[in-house]
Amino acid sequence: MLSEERKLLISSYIDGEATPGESALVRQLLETSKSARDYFQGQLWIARRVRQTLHSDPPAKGFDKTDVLREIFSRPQVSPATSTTSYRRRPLWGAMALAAAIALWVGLSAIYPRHLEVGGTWKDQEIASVPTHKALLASGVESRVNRNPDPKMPSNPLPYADLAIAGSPRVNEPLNHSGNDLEQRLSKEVGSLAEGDPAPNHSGILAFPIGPSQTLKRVDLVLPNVFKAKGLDPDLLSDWELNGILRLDLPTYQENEATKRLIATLKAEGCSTYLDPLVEEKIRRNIPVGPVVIVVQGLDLTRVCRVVQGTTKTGNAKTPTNQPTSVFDEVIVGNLSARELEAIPGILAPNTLRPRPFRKANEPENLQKLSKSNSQFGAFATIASASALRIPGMVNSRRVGGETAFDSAKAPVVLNIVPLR
Amino acid sequence: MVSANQPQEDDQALVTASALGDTLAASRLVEKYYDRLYNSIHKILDNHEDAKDATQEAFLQVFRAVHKFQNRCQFYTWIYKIALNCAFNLRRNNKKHHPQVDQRLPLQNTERVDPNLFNQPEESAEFLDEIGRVRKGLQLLGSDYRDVLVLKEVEEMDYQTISEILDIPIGTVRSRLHRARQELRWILEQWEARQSQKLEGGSHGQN
Repeated sequence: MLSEERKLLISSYIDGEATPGESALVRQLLETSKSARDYFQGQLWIARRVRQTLHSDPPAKGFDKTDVLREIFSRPQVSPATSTTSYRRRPLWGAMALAAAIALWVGLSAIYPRHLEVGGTWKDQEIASVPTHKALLASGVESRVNRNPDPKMPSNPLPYADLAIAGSPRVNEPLNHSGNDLEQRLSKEVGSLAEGDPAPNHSGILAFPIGPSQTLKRVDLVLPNVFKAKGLDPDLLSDWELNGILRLDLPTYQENEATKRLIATLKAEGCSTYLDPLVEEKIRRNIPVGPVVIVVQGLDLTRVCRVVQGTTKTGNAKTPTNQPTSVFDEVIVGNLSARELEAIPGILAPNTLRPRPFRKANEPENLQKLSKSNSQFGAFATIASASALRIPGMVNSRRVGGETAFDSAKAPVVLNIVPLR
Repeated sequence: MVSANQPQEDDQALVTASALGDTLAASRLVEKYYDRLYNSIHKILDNHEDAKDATQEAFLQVFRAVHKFQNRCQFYTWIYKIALNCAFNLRRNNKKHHPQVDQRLPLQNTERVDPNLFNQPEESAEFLDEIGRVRKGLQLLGSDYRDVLVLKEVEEMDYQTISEILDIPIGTVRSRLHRARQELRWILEQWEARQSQKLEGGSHGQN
């Protein structure tokens, strides 16, 4: 009669979970004990039958994923605490949450009436919402450009370079209205740099705070042929059409080796630098700035690609040719058409980055899905794929001089190439 | 199957893109894992609506917290764990509101499953083929046993992963699996013995 302990041992052996010592013991038992052999056969028999049964079950129900996706993405975001609630009962919770929110709003309005204007809008509205690009363009780019001409660069390669500065919450409001303590403190510290003063060293990179902090560091390379789709005014963009626009959104910009390398690369590519004076001052004083958007314009696509790749064509002693200079920990390329993929040679090899085909691709339904997948889902490349393609610069921070970029937040710096159609 | 060969790289890219607000990447994850997750959860809950709810809830929770995904485990393991929790919550709610629905109460160590539980004429095990009997036998097992069996045999998870997902010690995983198989074997043997008795009785009668 086998002990319970030995039965458990045999069971683990069947599951491939026994240690080498236990396996040896089981094999010895099987050789010497008939009851062990019987038990082993019995367990093996049942394990196989269960496996066959469960795997032979057809998919319990096929779904149209469109409905599922709509269901998932259209649902209100509820707190995890309510996650145990069945959806069939969720509308009740939604109504209760709405009622609670209204009650809270009414209560707060009664307590803090001074924060509301007559029309009921928040005075410091910019805190609550990030202005859209369209709104930024509509809100005084021209006046800003005219008011703040750059005498050093009459043939400004960035005709709407001040777009970024116009987007700063501080442009149309006094600093003490920004609601940002750091901004207020720094405005006192910087002191001499009054709002609207021309930037002392204009030359190509725009940096400005854009609103609420983001949780991920994100770098967007916006391709010119899809730029219009961002909803920007086509007239204003006409000059941008021929240029690559590199936009970097970083929740924290800190001057470290990685960012120095990036900026050195940009400069080596002929970018000039435009820095908002306050941001420049913060960077100079090594005060973390964020969120920050860096817009680089005036590069053709090939040069943008070189920047993204982190290599320079015109290398010098500081940034030699083909030395990795990228600050990106990860590269994601999504939703690009074949034409767009071809437009960024060296970053991607389109044939290797096609979406994984469906298992039974020759079936009409799946062919349709596959076609949809190619157009909608595009291709995704990770840093690993890029490394496999031997693309210089597409390396993680460990390979960039052993220093971790942006290690203050411990989040990866992600390059996301997204044509926003 | 959760194995080391899983195309985790692709998942990481999709997860990161989803965290960045790319709904197409999120859609791709749904496309990729929805059926598999649903089918596995369906085997645990044995109910279409509940399995669908649990699966959708899992995806909803995942996309709500996708920026927190640390790549410490595979994406599927992560979402599976969430889906399983949703399934368990639904099962608890169902038991609370409809205690008669689930006859498969957890067994004590000394108890045995009653193979006559499904002895109504239309459910009689004798009329089922082998696969049908095993399926019915699985339904008779206590939920604790069936869960580990599904994780092991459907998802082909190792003890460690099962232990993490169910939040129980590895030793418990091992013993539950062992006992689940023992119970199922005993049930099937009972039914088969009864069937052969009937067949013998029938053949004697004919003779």
